[in-house]
Amino acid sequence: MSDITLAYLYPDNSVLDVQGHNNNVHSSDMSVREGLMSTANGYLTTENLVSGFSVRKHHVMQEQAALARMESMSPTNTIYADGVAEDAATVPTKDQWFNLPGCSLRWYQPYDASVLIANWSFFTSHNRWTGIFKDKNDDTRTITPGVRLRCVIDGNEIFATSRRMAENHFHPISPGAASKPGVGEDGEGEGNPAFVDTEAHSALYWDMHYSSKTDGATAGYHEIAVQCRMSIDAADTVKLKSAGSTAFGDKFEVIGYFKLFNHISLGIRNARVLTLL
Amino acid sequence: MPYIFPKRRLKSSDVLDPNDLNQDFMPVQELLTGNLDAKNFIASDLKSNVTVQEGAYFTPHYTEVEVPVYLGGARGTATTTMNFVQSDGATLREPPVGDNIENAFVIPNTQAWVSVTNNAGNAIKSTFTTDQAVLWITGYVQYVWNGFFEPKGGPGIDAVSTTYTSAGHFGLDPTEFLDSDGDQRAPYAYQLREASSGDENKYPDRGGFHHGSRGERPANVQFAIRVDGRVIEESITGKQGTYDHEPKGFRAGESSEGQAGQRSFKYKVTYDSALPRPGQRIPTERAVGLGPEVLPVRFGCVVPVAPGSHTVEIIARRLRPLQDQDLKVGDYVGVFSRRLLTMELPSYASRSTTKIPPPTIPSFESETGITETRIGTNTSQKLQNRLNDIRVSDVARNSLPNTHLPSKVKYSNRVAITPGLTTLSTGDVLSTGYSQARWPGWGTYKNRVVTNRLDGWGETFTDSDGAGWFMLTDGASDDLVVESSDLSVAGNEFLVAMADVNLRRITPTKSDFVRSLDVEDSQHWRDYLSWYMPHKYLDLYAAFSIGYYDGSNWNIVDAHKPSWINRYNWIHRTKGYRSNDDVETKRVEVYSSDFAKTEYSFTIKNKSLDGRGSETVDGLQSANIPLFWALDGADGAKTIEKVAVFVSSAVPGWWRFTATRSDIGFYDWQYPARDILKGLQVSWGNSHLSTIKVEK
Repeated sequence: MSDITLAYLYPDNSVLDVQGHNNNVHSSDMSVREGLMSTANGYLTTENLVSGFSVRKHHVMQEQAALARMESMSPTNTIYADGVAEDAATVPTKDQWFNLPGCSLRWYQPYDASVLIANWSFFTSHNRWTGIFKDKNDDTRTITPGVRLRCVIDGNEIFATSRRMAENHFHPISPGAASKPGVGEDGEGEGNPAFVDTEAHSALYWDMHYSSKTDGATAGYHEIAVQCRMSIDAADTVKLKSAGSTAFGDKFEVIGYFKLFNHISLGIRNARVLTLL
Repeated sequence: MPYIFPKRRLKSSDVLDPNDLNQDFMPVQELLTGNLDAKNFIASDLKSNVTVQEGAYFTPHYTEVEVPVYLGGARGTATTTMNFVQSDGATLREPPVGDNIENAFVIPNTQAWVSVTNNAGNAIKSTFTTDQAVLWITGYVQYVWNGFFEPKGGPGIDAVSTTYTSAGHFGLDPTEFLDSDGDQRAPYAYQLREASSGDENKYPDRGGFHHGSRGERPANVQFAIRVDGRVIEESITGKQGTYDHEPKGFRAGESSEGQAGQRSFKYKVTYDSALPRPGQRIPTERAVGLGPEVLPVRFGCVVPVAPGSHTVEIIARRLRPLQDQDLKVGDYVGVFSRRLLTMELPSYASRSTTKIPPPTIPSFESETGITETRIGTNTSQKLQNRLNDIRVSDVARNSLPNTHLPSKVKYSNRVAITPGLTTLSTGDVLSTGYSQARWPGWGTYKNRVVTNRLDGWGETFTDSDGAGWFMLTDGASDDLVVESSDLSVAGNEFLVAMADVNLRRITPTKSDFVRSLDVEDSQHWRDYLSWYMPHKYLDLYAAFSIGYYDGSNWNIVDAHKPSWINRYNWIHRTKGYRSNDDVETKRVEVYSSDFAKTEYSFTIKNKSLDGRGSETVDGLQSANIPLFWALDGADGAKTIEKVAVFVSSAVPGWWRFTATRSDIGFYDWQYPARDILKGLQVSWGNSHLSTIKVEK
């Protein structure tokens, strides 16, 4: 390509060259780049730019070089394991994952970008039980229901973001372990209702990211999310038995049966993307 | 502008109408009034060849303050805790390295948002002027909660005293550390806070060894981004309602037949009251801010802004506890390294250049002569010349789409590792990604790399070996490293590195002495094993850092300080854990008669011992370690061949060496310092590292 060069210069004292004039205005032969209109109709190149020309930010069409989006949610949501669609299946299925509210974003990417950077930021506190308990039928059960998180893009798991949340709730002794009898406050009895609970101490902020030249960077609609899976390992209620108290006069044992569920409590969170041309 | 065409094509027999002749040139002239747009250019040519001014797509505004955490020295007994401030909340420990080093920012315990400032009192912030724009903001902070156990004598930077003196370097009594006014007697010193078995039976979750948290209470700190004085709520690292309480995850279930007791007709009952009787009231938890004692935090948001000057800053606040409104002595949270990246993305920018008038061409009227000068030089050639010399102002505002624009992304790559997991018969799940790397300190060996995952603890720290940083691996063939010659940063380039590491465990490893103990030996229980509960230590630290290789050396901690986390999730115990004095051992008691003192009798009695020791096991930490930094070529071009994630770990010296205590015999093991740990093993799970380099 080269600059526009007019082929006809209208010399004085000559008959007007009609074809020359027409080609100066609009030439159908784009290989010679002689028509003012025809070249300007989409055939200008960097050869036509003044020396030192550079694209300025006001030239760039909105969101055509960089695009950022965010969705967020501020109200606290607490999700209990017995409140989500999950059976006691030990083999995880796709259906057992659910999106955490406020951590998803759907956006339209208008062109193929060079790179996508996605971030998920969310505050969580949670409880995750673990231990050995007796159920109401006096059967010993080991309870370690899980809570797992993962980030997904367009429905596909990003394996590097898969996280298993830590156990932070359990009894210091195991009421269900017959050979290791628990003690109550006064040192007798079976079972120990006081339990270790460090939910506040183990509250975390998660900021996970993902970058890709393809996933989420191609033209079209895309969606990112944080998904959670919570299992319920104990099929039945567990028995927790206090030591009783002399406040009742004679020793009076009180037995309680509880179902133990994990929960995850979401604080302020957002999901955001940045794509760069 | 739409495509332009002549009204008619002139033919030989046509009468030359001046209006038609004008219409041959005027549309071109109109184009050159700042109306050139995407349709006028060959897209592929511009995309390949056009130059884009710095800042046309985005402008990174990056600021950072790098602060090394206080840990004392690394060799011998010298490693201490991360305690950094005296009980006045203002007198900071001398930074561990160099001169003119920035120090921690202490968050006031006022619940109010405050700017995180540097030594000079200046906030970490970016101030810049934009047109209508969108800001993509990422912040990073490292915080530490003051109050780890530290010997009363106050160790120096280079050495921890291993001599127990009568003044009580290692006393257990909390009051020893406070005077009658409740102030600290020795700066930075806090009691061990080992709970007695009786206390732990009542409050089993208060077992962690930190003066402020006791392993149960949260740091209760929140961070956020503030733009032009407005707190961006979406970026707050906590809950919206700072007094929210959420019910625990259990509910009363059905009783079995013949069993009584879901409710008490007479007493209000609860599941976990001090006098526990089961019932249906479900306790709640206030978890509204960050919990662990030491944690790196990355956070961010996207904020649209109007034209004008803007200030983006990192702010913090400390929420007060509810249960006892008085904060403990020295109860402060400090912010160490902090980084703030704002990508300014222009969305509708004002013209940056003065508009240049279009070429003036004569109009043709009736009887106007058609001369070479008029239609050639002054008209068609003027337009030709101008179309061959398109100025910045000739191109329309908001006119060039992605099809005409070259990329400014010079390099991007993401690598991930997926360590294997093995489930043991105990139910523990172990990762193949682990390391025993030992923190090499802030001195000569600060950037040293160890290549074997067993290097570090257990070896002697020498000038050539025994400590360093280990590159994260999956334990098989893949390392968490990006390698490319394109990583080098030129003056007009900007490199962003981000990583997420799934920290699984920080596992204390037994000292040789502990390994030598026979658990069946009751005397060992009495003298040692009852005190063996290292999993409650909260001052076991792991560090992660993104380092880069310049072709000769690794830079792991110089440009950006590592991210630290403590072993905050301490509560995991074997099923044999007992919460009371229920280990029985035999004790021989000797009696003699009063009168002759020559007759003796021997009685063997049972004696209960604290049975909690040696029954703690490793629990998951499961925190996501968010690593992040940026390099601006404007601060100096850098040769970079590799970028990788490294790990190391630190343990206070008093857990690794035995103090000399002459006045007490075998019970001295209950006092720090104890020869209880060899070191740490840090394991991780799925992790990834991204590097993105752009031309500004």
